[in-house]
Order: sequence, then C-alpha cells, then structure tokens
Amino acid sequence: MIEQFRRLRGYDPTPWLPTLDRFLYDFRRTLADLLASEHYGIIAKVAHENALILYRQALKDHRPMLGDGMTMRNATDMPIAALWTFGRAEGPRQPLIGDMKGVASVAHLYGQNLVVAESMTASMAPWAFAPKDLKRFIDLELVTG
Amino acid sequence: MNRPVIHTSVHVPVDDKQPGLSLFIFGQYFNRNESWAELAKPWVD
Repeated sequence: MIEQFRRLRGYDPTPWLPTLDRFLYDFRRTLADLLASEHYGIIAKVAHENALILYRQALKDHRPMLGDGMTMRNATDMPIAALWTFGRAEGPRQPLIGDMKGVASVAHLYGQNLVVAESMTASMAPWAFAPKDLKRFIDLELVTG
Repeated sequence: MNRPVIHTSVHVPVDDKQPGLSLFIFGQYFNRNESWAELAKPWVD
C-alpha cells in the first residue's frame, strides 16, 4: 500500500498516517454529529412543533460515509429505507439490503414500531411491471428486518 | 419491514391525459391507468 500510494500519488504517505487515525476520524465524526443534530434534529424539531410526522431516509445507497445512520434516523418518526427494483440475474444492491437492516435496527432500538421502505423504485421502465414481478421486491423487504 | 411505500406519483388529477403524471424517469407507474389496475385491489389491500 505504501509503495502503491507513492506510485499513484507521487509522495511518501508515511508521515501522514497518524492523521488517518486521529484527525480523519474526528473530522468524519464531526460531520456525522452535525448532520444528525443540525439537519435531522432541527427539521424534526420544526416538524413536531407544527404537528407533522416525519418519514426520513438517511444513508440509502452508497453513502455510508455521510455518517451514522442510526443517529440520523433516531430523530424521525418513521425511519425509512429504500429497495429499488432489480433483475433476477443481478439481484438487489447490497447497500440497500444494509439500509433496510439499518432501518429495522433503528426501529428496534429507538422504539418506532413501523419500519418503512421506499419500494419498487424503478428507472427508465414505464409500465414494465406486473404484480408477479413486484411481489418478490416486497417479499424481500418483509424478510429483511 | 412492515410498511412499504410505493415510489410513484400519486397525483394523477385528470383522466384525459394518459398515462398521467410520473416522477420523470423514476418510480413505478402505479396509477389507475395501469393495465391491471382494475385487478389490483386484492393485492394492495
């Protein structure tokens, strides 16, 4: 890795390695804390002051670097995941399976009794699905948390 | 998971513009103009 870094980036990464351990962790932790408190937290506060119930997603697909999905969705009434449609050959996107398990964990831990999923999302596929095609997506949701 | 929410446009206000409003290229085209809409009640209930 050190050699490859030197080859690709053109300098020795060794002196900077301690920053990964300490600074990068703190930097990302701070982003995660602020997303949870200043975005999700404030929106939840304003919504609840106005008697609104929130359905909110957090990490969804390929965004785990954004922060702590548990903390972000703690501040929502209905934690919601997403499962897009998928072909039988390629199967579901793995980050979305993780998103559903995460959202179920949020509900179990923080006491929301409804676990929600944005469902059957497709793209570029108008009128392409019959109930027979859609059933397996919902089945997968029901057994994933 | 105990509450699926269909990713679609629920707003299809007129009958003479078919197939109705969609979410651009995304989502299910899940509305009353679907060819199997009349048969869907047992499935969505």
